[in-house]
Amino acid sequence: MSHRQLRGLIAVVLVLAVAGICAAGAPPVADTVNIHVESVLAADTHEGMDARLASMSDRLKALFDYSTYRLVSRNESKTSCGRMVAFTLPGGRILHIAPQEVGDGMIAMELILFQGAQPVMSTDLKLPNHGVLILGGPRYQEGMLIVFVSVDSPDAGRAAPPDISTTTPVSGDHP
Amino acid sequence: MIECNDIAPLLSAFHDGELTPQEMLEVARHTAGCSECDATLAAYRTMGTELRESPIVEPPEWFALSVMTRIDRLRPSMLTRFGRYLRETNERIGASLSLGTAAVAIAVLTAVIVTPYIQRLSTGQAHALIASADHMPVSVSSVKAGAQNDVSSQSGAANDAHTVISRLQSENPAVAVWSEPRSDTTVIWLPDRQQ
Repeated sequence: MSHRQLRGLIAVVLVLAVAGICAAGAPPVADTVNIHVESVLAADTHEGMDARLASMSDRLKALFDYSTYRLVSRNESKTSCGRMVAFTLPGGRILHIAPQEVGDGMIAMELILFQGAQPVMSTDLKLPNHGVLILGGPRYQEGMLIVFVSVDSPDAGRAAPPDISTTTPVSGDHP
Repeated sequence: MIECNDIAPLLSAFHDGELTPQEMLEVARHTAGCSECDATLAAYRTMGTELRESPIVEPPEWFALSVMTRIDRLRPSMLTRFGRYLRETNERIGASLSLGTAAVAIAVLTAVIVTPYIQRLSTGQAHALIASADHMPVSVSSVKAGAQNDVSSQSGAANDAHTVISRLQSENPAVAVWSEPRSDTTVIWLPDRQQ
């Protein structure tokens, strides 16, 4: 190999090394997660369904048996895996959501529900992309607070369709 | 007046004819009138003659071998070794092919190792690890334990499309969990303890 060829090769190596260093310095590609949190007051005051809850009307009726559903607050946030987001809920409650992994149509996350500064529930779970988690039960005003947590990520892909099965309420204090 | 101290450094160059014409003239004039400098110049002539007439001594055969052995023992620099490797490769498969191979290898290494794609790979491995662990598909479950509830010990066949709760802790003894798979909805019911 001639000196000229050797110099050319060294130049190529240097250019690639510089490109690699620049790429390493760039922020890593993070999985984006969109989180929507909607707080709904459910009560037996016979006021019907809040028009703003039309999109989740069927879901509410299938899961609960209240006569009043009223949207109290609606929040949304965009975050990435490893970055916690805090949502302020009605009644002095705070919900921390920290997505952990995204993939295979699922979004893994950690949720912690606080009543003031006191954690009252903590969970690690994986939700299907576009899946919904409902946190319910805390008393609020004249009824119960139902918190819809829906997550989606463009990086999660699609999961296999779920099996069709019936919903079976379990014993407890839920309606 | 030029002194001997000025002329002495020029005598060797004068003997070799390496001075400027003006210097050559000055040195010649000085040595013509200075026996000491003329003797020094004569000594240069004699030494030159003797060196030219001395026999040429051939080095012994072991000398070259010894020198080359010592050179081989010296570890060459990285660049030298890399150049040597390329030269040998070039001899074997040709310059263009070796250049292309090296460039492609470096480009692939740069793309795979240095860029964030490696993080994608590690994330995929983490998914595989989690998939192998025991998780609870939340179709129907209820937790009515005592002071602290932890459902991570319950397990079953996981379906990727179902919500999977791997841990749930609460001080509340009346926590209930159920799901509505048709709408991908999972409920964690956490009534106030005062109820």
